[in-house]
Amino acid sequence: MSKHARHLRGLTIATLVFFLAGLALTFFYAPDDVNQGFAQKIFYIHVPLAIVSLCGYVLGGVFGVIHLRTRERIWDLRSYTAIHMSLIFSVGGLLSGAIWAKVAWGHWWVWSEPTLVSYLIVVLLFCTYQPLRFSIEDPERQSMYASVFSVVAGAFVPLNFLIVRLSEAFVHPRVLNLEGGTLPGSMALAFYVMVIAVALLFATLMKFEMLAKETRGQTRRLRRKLLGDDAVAPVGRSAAPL
Amino acid sequence: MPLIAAGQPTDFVSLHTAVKYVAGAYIVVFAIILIYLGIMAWRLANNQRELAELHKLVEERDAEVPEREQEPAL
Amino acid sequence: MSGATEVETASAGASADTPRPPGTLATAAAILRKDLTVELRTFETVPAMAIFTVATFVIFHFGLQRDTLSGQLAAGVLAVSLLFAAILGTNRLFVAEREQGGFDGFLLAPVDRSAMFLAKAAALFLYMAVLELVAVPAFALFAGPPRLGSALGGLVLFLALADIAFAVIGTLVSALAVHTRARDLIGPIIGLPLQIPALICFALGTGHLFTLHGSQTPPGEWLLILGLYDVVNALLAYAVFDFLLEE
Repeated sequence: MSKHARHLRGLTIATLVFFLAGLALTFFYAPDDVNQGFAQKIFYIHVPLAIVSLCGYVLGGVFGVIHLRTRERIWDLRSYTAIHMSLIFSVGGLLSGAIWAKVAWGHWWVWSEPTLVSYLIVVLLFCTYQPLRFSIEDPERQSMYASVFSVVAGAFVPLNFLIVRLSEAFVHPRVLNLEGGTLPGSMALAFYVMVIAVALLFATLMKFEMLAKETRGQTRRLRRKLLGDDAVAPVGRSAAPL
Repeated sequence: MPLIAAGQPTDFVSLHTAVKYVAGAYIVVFAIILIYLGIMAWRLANNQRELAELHKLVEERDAEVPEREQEPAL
Repeated sequence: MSGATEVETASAGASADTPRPPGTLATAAAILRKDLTVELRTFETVPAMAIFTVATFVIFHFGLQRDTLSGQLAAGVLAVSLLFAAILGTNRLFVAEREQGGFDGFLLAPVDRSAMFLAKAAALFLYMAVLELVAVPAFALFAGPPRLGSALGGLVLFLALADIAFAVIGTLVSALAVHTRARDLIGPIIGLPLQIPALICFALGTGHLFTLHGSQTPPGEWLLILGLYDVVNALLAYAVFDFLLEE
């Protein structure tokens, strides 16, 4: 059994349990917000998605560093999968954020919210990860360059957040308050359970994708062994490491 | 975000509208994850089909080999 | 004339008395000298960047329909025009190396690979500095921001720090993109988001300088953050650049 398959079942069950618990806490336990009422429930899915995807980008950079140091393909695959999953989570985060902005402020997009703006910049940067991989044919070079990108972009995430936040703080001075800092206890519980649930979902899907990629690679190798090199289509047009 | 008990109270959106937006947000997120899972399931099915094909090939080859081995003996 | 020949002659000269390869700075200086010589003989990059910037000012005039610009608007037009010019220069940075085998020659030479990064970043910085000698007067002429004369000192500081960011990030992105199939597209799309923090610092800082009743001194916090962004990116690029030159 592949090492990616290990714990996959346990992780899946844990994800489901935490998700159900988180949703139940969100809708039946946490009180409605004083200012926003029921609309604030979007917070419990939007913010965990954003936090987990940002951590995923940084994680991709950490895996990239390990790949550059060890030169083992597995770390490139991990880096790729982490960034790929983060991109998917980011789309969810941006869309739910836009819906929340609409219901809370009446606009689909708000430039005065530094967290939202810096998040968009980060997503824009990571959107170029797949085209970069896609446009390098040599697999060896593809993995090296992708790792270099993941390291630079991973370091860019906190830097960018700092600068965008400071720009807002200098231009429109106000009290900085961190997410969750002022959450009352019952809201905080639901929020943290949702964060754990989304993080578990990230881990599960990442493991799942790595297993799928590995199985795909094994099938290709088997086909090559049985039918010769000509029977296997070149990987060329793929952005994913195999 | 200064949304929780901070800043001046915004206009309360009616519960009816709020429910629509909240449901929309959650549905969008789950739809994205479902689409991802759907694509992965499609790829898995492709892979399984290919494996079955290879499996059949191996069996055919195994069936051929003994016959050829018997020929010189006959 | 490629980078390799310069490096080889440099090392050949050193081997006459001592068989040591040239140091990082000597190698970087050789490559930089080569780049500047090529640029002075062909006038390929900097004049194109200058024309592009002036054309951008004109385009902004028609897009915004303003005869004079001030405050944040003036700073934004200047910052965006310079950023786009930097992207233009970034695209050309490694083209000669790739097309004429300079990379192979450089990799064969027994020299520190980081020298290439230092040389290219310095070249891009110098290109930007020369470009601004044309662009800032053109900007003053076309946009007529208030108090440009008294703000000049602060503006030069901001330009220098922003140029470092453009040069460092531009060199890294250019090296990333030069071996890709769609390098003209990949370079800018990776470069633009990475340059946004520098653009924020530059635009907000200089916007303050161009305001009619603003203070004369450049806003120190933006200089500091921009400088910090430069330093972090330079260290990062220096650390990862070697991996981009491997075969």
